Amino acid sequence: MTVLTLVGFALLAVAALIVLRPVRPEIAALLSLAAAALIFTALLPKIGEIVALLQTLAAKGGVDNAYLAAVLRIVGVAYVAEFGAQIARDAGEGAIAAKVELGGKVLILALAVPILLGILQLVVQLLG
Amino acid sequence: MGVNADIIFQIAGLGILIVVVHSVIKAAGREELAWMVTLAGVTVVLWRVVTVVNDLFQAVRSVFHV
Repeated sequence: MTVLTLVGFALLAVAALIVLRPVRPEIAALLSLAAAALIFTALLPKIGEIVALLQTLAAKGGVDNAYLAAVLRIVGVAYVAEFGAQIARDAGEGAIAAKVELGGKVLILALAVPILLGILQLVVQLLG
Repeated sequence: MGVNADIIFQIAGLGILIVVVHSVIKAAGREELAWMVTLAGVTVVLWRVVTVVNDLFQAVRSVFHV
């Protein structure tokens, strides 16, 4: 996966979409969904490498593994929610996109609760 | 690690095929049959896209442990 492959693939998808969008918007929406999913899937191994690097750094720095796992989960939720919201907005469904984004934010906040509690406990320890 | 462009070609080709078949059947005066062809095409494309999205979600799940 080089930048040339990525841009070439994106231009190919855009060319197909320009032809399809005026005549068959429903197929065009599915095509753009497939293209976005394929690009995302191709990027994930690289993201995995970065995540592995972060995990190594966190292990060396003595960061609690639970916190890093929570942060990674939050990043994953954010990526997927953004993906879904953009596809929905692309298909002209702004309301659904807004709800997907809202759902993503709520889920992220729920995932962040243990981290917030950890910070609060640390503050209480420092003050007490 | 490249991107699999086959699916894009397949969907785009199927879309153009549907457009052509749709207009031919419509010209023959069978409006409801043309609509059925479009529906069948969208279903086939949706089937392919669902597999792609499923692959993506599996990969996301394995990378981020969501």
